[in-house]
Formats: sequence, C-alpha cells, structure tokens
Amino acid sequence: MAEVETGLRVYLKFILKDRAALASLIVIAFLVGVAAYVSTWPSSVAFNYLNRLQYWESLYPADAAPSWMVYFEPAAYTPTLYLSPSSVILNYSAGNVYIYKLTYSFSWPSLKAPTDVSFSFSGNATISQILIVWRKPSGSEVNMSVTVGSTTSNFDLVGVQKALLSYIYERTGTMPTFVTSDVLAKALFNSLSSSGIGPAERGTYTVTVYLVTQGPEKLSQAEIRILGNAYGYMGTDYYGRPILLGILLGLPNALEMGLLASLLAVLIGVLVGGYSGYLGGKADSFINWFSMVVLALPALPFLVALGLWLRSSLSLWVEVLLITFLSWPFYAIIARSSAQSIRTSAFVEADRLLGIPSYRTFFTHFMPRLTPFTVAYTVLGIPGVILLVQSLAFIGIAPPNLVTWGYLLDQAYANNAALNGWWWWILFPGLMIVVVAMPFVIVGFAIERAAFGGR
Amino acid sequence: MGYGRFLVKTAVIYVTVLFAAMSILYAFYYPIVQKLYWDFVNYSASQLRTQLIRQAHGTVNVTYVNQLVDRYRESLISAYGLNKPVMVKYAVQMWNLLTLHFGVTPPGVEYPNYGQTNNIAAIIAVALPRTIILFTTGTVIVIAVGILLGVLAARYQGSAYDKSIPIIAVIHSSLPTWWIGFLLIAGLAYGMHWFPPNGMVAPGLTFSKEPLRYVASLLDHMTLPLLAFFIVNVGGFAYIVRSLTLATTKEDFVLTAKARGLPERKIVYGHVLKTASPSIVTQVMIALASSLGGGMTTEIVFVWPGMGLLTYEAVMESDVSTVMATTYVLTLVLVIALWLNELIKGFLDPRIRASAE
Repeated sequence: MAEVETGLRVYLKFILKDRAALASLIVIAFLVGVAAYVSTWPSSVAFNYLNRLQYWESLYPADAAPSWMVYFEPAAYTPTLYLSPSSVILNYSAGNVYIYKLTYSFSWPSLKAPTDVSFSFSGNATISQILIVWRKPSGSEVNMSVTVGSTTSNFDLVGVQKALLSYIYERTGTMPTFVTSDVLAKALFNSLSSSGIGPAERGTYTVTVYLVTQGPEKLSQAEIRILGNAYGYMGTDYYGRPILLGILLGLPNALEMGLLASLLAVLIGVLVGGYSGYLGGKADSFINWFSMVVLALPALPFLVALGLWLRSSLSLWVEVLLITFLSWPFYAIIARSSAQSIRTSAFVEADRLLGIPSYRTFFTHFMPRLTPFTVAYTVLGIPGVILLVQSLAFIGIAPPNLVTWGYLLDQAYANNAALNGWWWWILFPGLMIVVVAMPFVIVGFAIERAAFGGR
Repeated sequence: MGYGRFLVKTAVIYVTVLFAAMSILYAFYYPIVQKLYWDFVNYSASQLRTQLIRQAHGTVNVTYVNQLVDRYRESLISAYGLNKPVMVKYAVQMWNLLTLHFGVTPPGVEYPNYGQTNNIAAIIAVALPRTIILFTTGTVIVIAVGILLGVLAARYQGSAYDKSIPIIAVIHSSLPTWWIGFLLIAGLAYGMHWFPPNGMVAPGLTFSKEPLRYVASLLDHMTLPLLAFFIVNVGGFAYIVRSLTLATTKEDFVLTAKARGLPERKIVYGHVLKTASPSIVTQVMIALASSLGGGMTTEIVFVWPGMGLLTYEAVMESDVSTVMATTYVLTLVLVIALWLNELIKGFLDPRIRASAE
C-alpha cells in the first residue's frame, strides 16, 4: 500500500500548489465546521422550522428583507429591534404598591415607521398597570397606559390604540380612516403636524416604562419588539422564519447526502467496473450493457415517482441508496476503461502465470491504481448529488424531517416570492447550493488534473 | 461489416436495453400499481353494493346482493389480472407499454392543460411535442454556441479567453437550472415585465385561428426557459468541445497538416473538428436525451405544459398509469437518442462500425 500513500501525497502537493483548489479546500473545511456545529443543535429546531409555523409568526416579522437593506434604502426598509431595558429602578413603593421604572433607548435609522411594536412583560408579582412614555428624537412625547391584573402582559399597538389615536388627532386634527398597527406605529415614529404625517424621525428614541405591581417584582421578561420589514442577515420568509436559520439547517444534510451517495456510487462503480474491465469478455460486455440500461432511465421522473410513493418513509439513507443506484454505472464505465489499460501490464500477466486468483490480483494491482480515480470522482460527484437532492426537494421529495435549500425554494415558489419581490427568499438558498457545490468542483478538477495528467 | 448489419445489430442491443429499463421501472412500481388496482376494485364493488341496496326499495336480499357483488368483484379482478401470477402481469404490462396501450386516467383525474381527454396516449401525444420543441431548441442553441466557443478556446490555447472556459465550466457544474429560471422569473418577468413569467402561449390563443400571433406568443414564452437552459449548459459544453478538440490537436496527422503548411482555419475545421466530431456527437445526443428527462424542474418552474409537468401533476394525483406511461415514453426517447448516436458515430467513424463485429 506504500504506493497509495505516495500517490495521495502527490495529489495533496498538487492541490496545495493550485491557489483556487487551496482556497476551495479552506471553504470546504469551513462549511464542514459550520455543519458540525449545526448538527449539535437539538432536532426540535428543524422540527419547529418545518412544522410549527405559528411559532415563527410571533417571533419575527414575516417577509422581512435582510436588515442591511435599511442602509441602502432607508425610505423603504425598517429594521427589527429587540429591546431590553438599559436600567430597572424601583421608583416608588408604599405598602403593597411598587412602581418600577424601566428605561429603553434605541436609534432609528429609517425614514419609515415599523409595522408594529409589541411589549411583553412578565415576573413573579401581579402587574396591575403599565404606563409608557415614548419620547421621540424631536422631544415630542406620547403617553400610553394599560391595565393588566396578571403576572404577564403581552400587547401590541392595537392594545393601546385609544391613546395613540387621540395623540394623532391632537397633532394632525384628523382621525385615520383605517386603524391598523402600521397606522398606529406612525404616531410613535413619524413627525406629526397639522399639515399631516411626515417621515419617521431618525435619531435616538427613549422609552420609559412604569410598571405598577402588587408586591416586589422580579422581572423574567421585559422586552419591547419593534417589528420592521427587515430582519437578520438574510431576511425572513412568509411565515417569519429566518432564511439564515433554514440555510444553516440545510447544510449538514446536504454535505452528508452528497458525500455518502457520491462515495457509495464511486466505490461500487470502481469495484464492479474495475473488476469487469479486468476480467474482460462476457462479464465486461454485460456491465457495459447494464450501464446503458441505467443511463436510459429518466432519473428525475423516476426518483420523483418513487419519492412520492415512499412519502413519509423516505429517509436520508433511502434517498442516498436510490441516487447511488442510478449513478454507479457512470463510474463503472470509466473505471472499466482504466482497468482495461492496466490489464495488459506485465505484472498482471506474471500473476496470471503464477496462478494467483484473479480477485487477489485485482486487489493488489488494480485497486491501488484506481484509488486516484476513486478520490477524484468522489469529490467531483458530490456537487452533482447535492444539486440532484436539492432539485428533488424543490419538487417536494425530501425526507420529511429534513430542512433542505430545495425546500426553502419550494416554499418560496409556493408563496409567490417572485411575484411579491421577496428576492432574498429566492437568492440566498440557491446561492448556497452554488457556494457549496463550487469548491468541490474546483478541488475535483484539480485532483483530476493531478491524477490524469492535465486532461 | 456493412452499415446495414451494424444498424440491425445495434437496434437489437437497444431493444434489450429498453426492455431491461422498463423491467427495472416495473419492479419499482409494481407494489404501488397493485395496491392501486386493489383499491379501485374494492371501491367499485362497494359502489355496486350501495347501488343495489338503493334499488331494492327496502326489501333487501342480502345473500343475493352479496353474490352479485362478489361476482362483479371477481370479474373485475380477472379483468385487471390481479389473480394472475406475477410473470403474467409483467408480460401483460410490458406488452401494453410496447404497443403504447397506456389505458385511461383514473376516474376524477383530469389534465386540462393537455386537452379534454382521459386517454393517456392522447395526453402524451400533446405533451411530448411541447417538451421536444423547448429542449431541442435549447440544445441546438447550446451546441452551436458551445462548439464555437470551445473551438475558439482550443485555437487560442493559453489566452485569457481560453482560461475563462474552465471557470465557466465550474460554474456550470454547480448551478441548478430551475434556480436560474426562478431568478429570471423574479427579475425579468415580474421585475422588468419584459417576458411572461410562465405558461406556453397567452391563454385563449389557438394555432388554427391566429397562427402568427400564436407563434409570436410561443416564442415570447420560450425565451426565459431557453435563457435559463443556455446560461447553465453552454459553459460545460464549450469545455467538453475544447478538451476533445485539444486532444485531437496533439495527433500526428494534425502535425503533418501543419508541416504541409495548410492554413490554420483549414486544419481546425477540416481536420481537427472532423475527427473530434463523433465524440462531440455523443456528448450532444446524451445532453439532448437527458435534457428531456432532466428538464422536469425547468418545466415545473416555468409551468411549461410538457412531459415533465405532466409527470409531476400525475405524481401529485397518485395516477400511476400516467407516471408509468410518461417514464416509459421518456425512456423510449432516450434509448432512440442513444441508438441514433451510435448510428451517427458509426456513420462518421468506420472504426466504430468495425469494433461492433
């Protein structure tokens, strides 16, 4: 096996010399690292992503663009902020009545008001009343109050609409015809005057919340959420699920399926093709014929039909095996021709004369020489499998418990993302397929060049 | 060996290939086909029972009804061949597929995109030309541009242009066509309103009434799918042509031609391309054949009512007969393409004809 080691060392040297291949190796290592990190997450994350759609609606804004879009188009995009108090002070206490003063401050970069603001407070004592003083950068103040009577309180702008509507009326002299959370949010953000509603005020906002509680309060939650139309590095989908989370969840299974299916197909192809090429004769022409049969099967319609028939019983391994079944003959054809060229060597002839069994000759002389082939085609096969798996997932064929990029794109397609202009939902998952596939192609090309002498 | 014998011999091989491929498909589909037929038989029997009880107007002779229903059920089972041994079922299925007797769609399942009929053969006769028109046009464009780019790269080997071809090939190997299609729909159809986002022609247009407007609308609808197909496939094809041409450039007869002082142009097009053409033809045929089956996702994204979309709709309706039929027809087209490839190669290169002996 000494020969194999020197062989592999030669390829490594070759790859290290090729700058593009080296960069690709680093990218692959990074992706594998991220995948390893993501696979330590509990399976409930993927389950929630696929099945509990309401859960996301309450957490993140729906159809949100990437948050950095705010800096490109401040008139169109608003960020999503999750505020926690900068200070919590016991302001007043008498008998059983305690008043806490919570101070929040944030800066607003956009010219537009957010879609909604929601408040959630909870602790161990009963909250009887909440008073909110909202101070805009211009110094104008809005006062809101809510009567509670329990230990937790969650409300959004619709819950304090009376105060906000009277504020709007007081400032502009007119009442809005439709009362929605977007209209109410304008009271808190835009500059209101008798001439109408101006753009949102940019600058630092200060929010002071007075919590009136019955008894000393230990707050477990005191959050103000400003729901804009931009969130996260890659935005969110129609249900409020962050695209980035979906992309991360899709990484481990994409790499796993790509590696497993590619490796299995190449190994089977090299063993069967190499051995038949070595034997020659009838076995050889049979393998050639069978490869043609599998080549003639329309892979995608075939896999789609089988996948939908299996439905929920489709697992990662079943999908890997189906893809392996359809792809190994391609490698068998190539391994066959490589083996045929080794067959005429003197050492093979010598083995035959010495009466050494053919399978032993195959493993001592052929397999080591086919190793570079195996490595190159395994690496080159990975992107093909990843593309196929994502295409299948796009059609709706995927193991039911896996988040795939194809699934994200399928969802984008089903929810008319192209029509609605939610480009981030289409761009990033597809880009991820390209980003993951490309380094494997580059490294594969480099190994191929090293192994077969610059073809 | 004469070309006639070569033709017959390869034809025999490809018929066995078709048969074996269909057998593999049948082996995978067999359990679901059986389950579907049994479901249909049981459903029909229970339908008859309800009907008989309703007709009896109160006085029900249960034994008699059961007898009738059982007899009906038996007749259905023998009509569908459910009580026959597996081999007989297999033979019947193979015969039906070979003679293009695909049967009809199950009750309630309709494909309005493919005409008002439930005859699967008629539905496929509508769908197949649409797929062929789209992907053959695409492949022809890719081949023409790909050969031009590849040969130019081989001619100016080592130039910046030549070096960019492998980069395009790398991108080609990592791009899903349907994603590019999706981006094009979002950008050029919905964003810029330059092209229609999906479909084959504007609704209501018929070829017999307004042929010119029909063709114009067809071309308009074809542009985006063709563009997606072109973007994804041209780089890879140019790369293959370049490699094949370069491999031929190193042969002795090219050197001889150079020594004879033939013009560069004549060497490239007369000698190199002519010798490399059988390999290029193989690549072309395989690309064309696999694009028909592999274009499924493209058809789905662009709602192009061809074979891929039909298969998808049939799978969604659990209509196994149609799925079997479409996969069979796609396999048939592929096998014919592979056979034609062999024939063209044999025609272009006498060595291949000789080796088939």
